[in-house]
Amino acid sequence: MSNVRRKVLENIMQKFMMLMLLALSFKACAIDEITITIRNHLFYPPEVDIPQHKKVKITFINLDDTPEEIDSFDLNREKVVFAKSRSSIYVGPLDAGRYRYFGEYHPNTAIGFVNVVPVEERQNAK
Amino acid sequence: MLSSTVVLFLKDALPIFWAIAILIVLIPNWRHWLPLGIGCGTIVCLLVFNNIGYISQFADGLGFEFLKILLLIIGYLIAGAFFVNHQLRYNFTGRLLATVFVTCIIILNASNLLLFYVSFWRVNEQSHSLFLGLILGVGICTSIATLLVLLLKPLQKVKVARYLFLVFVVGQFSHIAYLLQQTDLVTSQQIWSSKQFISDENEIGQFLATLIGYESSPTGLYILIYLVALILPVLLRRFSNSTKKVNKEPNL
Repeated sequence: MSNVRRKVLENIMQKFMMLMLLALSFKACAIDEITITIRNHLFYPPEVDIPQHKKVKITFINLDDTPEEIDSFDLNREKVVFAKSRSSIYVGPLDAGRYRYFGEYHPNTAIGFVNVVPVEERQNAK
Repeated sequence: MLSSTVVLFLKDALPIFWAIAILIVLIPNWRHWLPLGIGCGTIVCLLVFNNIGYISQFADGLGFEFLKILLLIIGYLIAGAFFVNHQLRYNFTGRLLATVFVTCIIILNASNLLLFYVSFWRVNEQSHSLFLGLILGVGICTSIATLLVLLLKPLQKVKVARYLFLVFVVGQFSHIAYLLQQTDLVTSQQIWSSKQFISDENEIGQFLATLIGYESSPTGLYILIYLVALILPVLLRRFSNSTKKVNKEPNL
């Protein structure tokens, strides 16, 4: 292989690696994270706001002695959070609105809402 | 507690009863294999349950989702094989595959139910409601499964059973879309909402979700997987039928 070809190939490889790193860092930076605690079969905070059309990571921390299955027909999500442990789910991108989720093992008490709000409205609220 | 136990039972146990009922109609003399399938499913389910902490923490907390995806793929492949190959239901391989399918569906659906029961029984939280819920749940699921067998079996509705089985498995299999989405492996947006007509939360919605994979607000990926998973075996069956006809022609 000639030197010119090798240099071109190295150049392409470098650019590709940089693009990959950029994409990965963008992905890592782009996702917001929200933490919700489960205590006495209740969600704290019971309502969270997330930006419209954006993916968000929601981490549930279960402080109870029993597991809880997070279920949401609105968000199409289902995840078991074991006793004294944490689990995460990703939601979105979603349209603006109010999305209900609940604890399947305690559906009467463990109820929470994810409010998806337009970005400007969220910034104003902050 | 009683109502949530019954609802949970219907959601998690009904698919098992429904699958068994269809397989009884679909595969001749498979009933004798049923205890083996239930036994294997229960043992593996207990093993999974014993190691559920380890499994769920595996792969950065996505272990349980990956296990579900794997079981759904195995279940779909078996259902696809039954649909495409008509002769499979008469031989030993067919019976064995049906037994593996029952094992998979038990692990998939019963592990959550087992977790619920064992956890709440341990803390002695309303154990009488749990027991009553168990009896009611088993009663309802058995009634529905028996009704299905009674409707299909005497009429020899094997073709209906075959399509019912495919649609049921495709409905279950399409949930891979949500498992992939919630683990951040893919992103897809909601396409429509038919919540005002049939909501997922009411009994009809839950029933349809179990039987045909109904979703009131599906995402694009869910619809794509559903359609591809449904159409592919139908096309393969047509292709295999036409190939058989072509092969038979020279003999005529």
